[in-house]
Amino acid sequence: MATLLEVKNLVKHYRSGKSRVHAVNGVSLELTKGEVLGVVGESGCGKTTLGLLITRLVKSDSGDIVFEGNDITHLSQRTLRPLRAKIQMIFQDPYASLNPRMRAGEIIEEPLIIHKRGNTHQRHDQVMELLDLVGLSPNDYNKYPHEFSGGQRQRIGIARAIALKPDLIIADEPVSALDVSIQGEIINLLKNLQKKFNLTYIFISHDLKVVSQISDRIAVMYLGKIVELFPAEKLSFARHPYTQALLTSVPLPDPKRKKEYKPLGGDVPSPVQLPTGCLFHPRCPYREEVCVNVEPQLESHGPNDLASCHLTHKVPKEIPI
Amino acid sequence: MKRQSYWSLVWQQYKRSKLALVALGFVVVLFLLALLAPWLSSYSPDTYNLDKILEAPSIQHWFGTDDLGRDVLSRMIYGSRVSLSVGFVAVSIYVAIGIFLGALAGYYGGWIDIVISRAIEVMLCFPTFFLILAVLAFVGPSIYNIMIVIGVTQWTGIARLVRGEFFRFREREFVLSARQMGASNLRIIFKHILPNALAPVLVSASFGVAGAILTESALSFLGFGVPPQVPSWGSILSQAQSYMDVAWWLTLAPGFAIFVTITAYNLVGEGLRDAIDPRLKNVL
Repeated sequence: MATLLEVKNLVKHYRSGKSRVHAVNGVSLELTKGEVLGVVGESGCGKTTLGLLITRLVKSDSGDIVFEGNDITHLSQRTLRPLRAKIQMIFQDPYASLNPRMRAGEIIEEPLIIHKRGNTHQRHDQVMELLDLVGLSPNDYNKYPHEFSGGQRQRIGIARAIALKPDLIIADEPVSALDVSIQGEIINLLKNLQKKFNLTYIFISHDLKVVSQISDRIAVMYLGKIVELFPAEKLSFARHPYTQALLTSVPLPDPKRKKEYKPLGGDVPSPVQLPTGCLFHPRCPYREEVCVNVEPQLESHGPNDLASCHLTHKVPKEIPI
Repeated sequence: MKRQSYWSLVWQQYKRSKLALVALGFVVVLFLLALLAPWLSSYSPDTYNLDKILEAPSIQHWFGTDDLGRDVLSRMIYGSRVSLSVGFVAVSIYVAIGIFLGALAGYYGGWIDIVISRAIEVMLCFPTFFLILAVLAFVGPSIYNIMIVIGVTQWTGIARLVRGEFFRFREREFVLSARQMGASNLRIIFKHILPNALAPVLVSASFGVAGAILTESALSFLGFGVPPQVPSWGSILSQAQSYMDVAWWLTLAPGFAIFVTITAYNLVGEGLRDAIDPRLKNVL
């Protein structure tokens, strides 16, 4: 399978006054066509920034973004514009991501206009097709965003994102603003569209449960770094203590099953003053001397399975989920 | 569900205020007056009738006659043309300038914003009315000069407003999304941000029309406005006040016309503002 996207050692620090916020601090990953990569982490871990960096909406400080074999890290916004048709984005807030003065049809049609696809008539037919594809009715064409519910609006956002049949879709928390019942519907819609058009997703979420439902691989971010990257089916065998902590915090839907729930102590450290050694050591229940002093690297623990932890021998082998 | 555009929602909210509706009705009537002046006035505004000077209101001359025997009602009707055209043209000029500069500053930020913001501050340092007086003293009083001078001196308010709106919207997700899709800057400015920034501009513009009408009247009253033979509410009032002791009623019509018109535009502006903010915020 061909590599679609390669991100190498991407760094973005936000400066405010003398302090630096280490939003994304050396992230590397590869994505093959047709794959769904989940990115999980707590708020402030840099997962949204990562998405914005890949779409070049935010300029990176260093590192490379290679898309379909072309380095797009330093392309000017103008040369980037035609390429933008190939990378689309779904945003978190379906209320803020649709222009309130445009009708649903116009919103979905816009990417087609921008990239000059077809004539008015063809575009109209295409929008109708897209509406149907995301489960909206043809009558919705002329409605304004405020006339839709949150889930319906997200469907409009999805229709807009797939209008150009992009190679890569970055979905930044696409369901976290929705009710749980609607979340499932939208996840299923995204899944079906992915299968139908062999789409590639980067699916960003703070919710491990949601991510595991749709992803082929999962990247866990903590303080601007990927601490673990593993195939989704191996979720319960995750090695990093942070991933395990996230796992145990997922509520079980079965009231009869009890699980050992050890909440993580403390808060995420400030991304301005990063901890020494392992970023996770201040909150890690297994920490040893080495964790405080030496920063662990992402190491392979099996096919497609990377974790950055000195003590993988010490942590539990499996977390029941 | 009913199909409602933003502006139809605004109209629904606007209708709730009786006062604003009445004011809007008055503005519409004024427009008709100005438009249909030749058919509505029974006398020419410029015809002298030295047999009938400074007459009190009567059936023939509802508002009386002035010092040259001209029918004040006819002059008032023709005068509304001057007031309205000055109001609208001047405001259109400065709204255009204000939107252009405000959008540039707010959208691009950086040094463009610094230059434009300093220019705004410099403009604000001048007391505009005296600036207008001074400029008119050089270029000479004419209705067109008044329009242009008000237009090029009063844009700062709109510019600041639009700049603020652009700052507010340029990081919104729907703008990010447009940028991400590959939309050009022009498209983002005109298609995505401006339509969303227009509502407060419209409110400000309707207050602005009131301000411009008042400025024109004041200038004409002081003799810096339209030439004396051209009827304008300000000049009619100015001429009338010379005869206050013998024909006090002459000041009533232009005085009230200015007062009521300014009030009406302000009420329309307030009605619009209330219709747009903040009740619609929960809907949109």
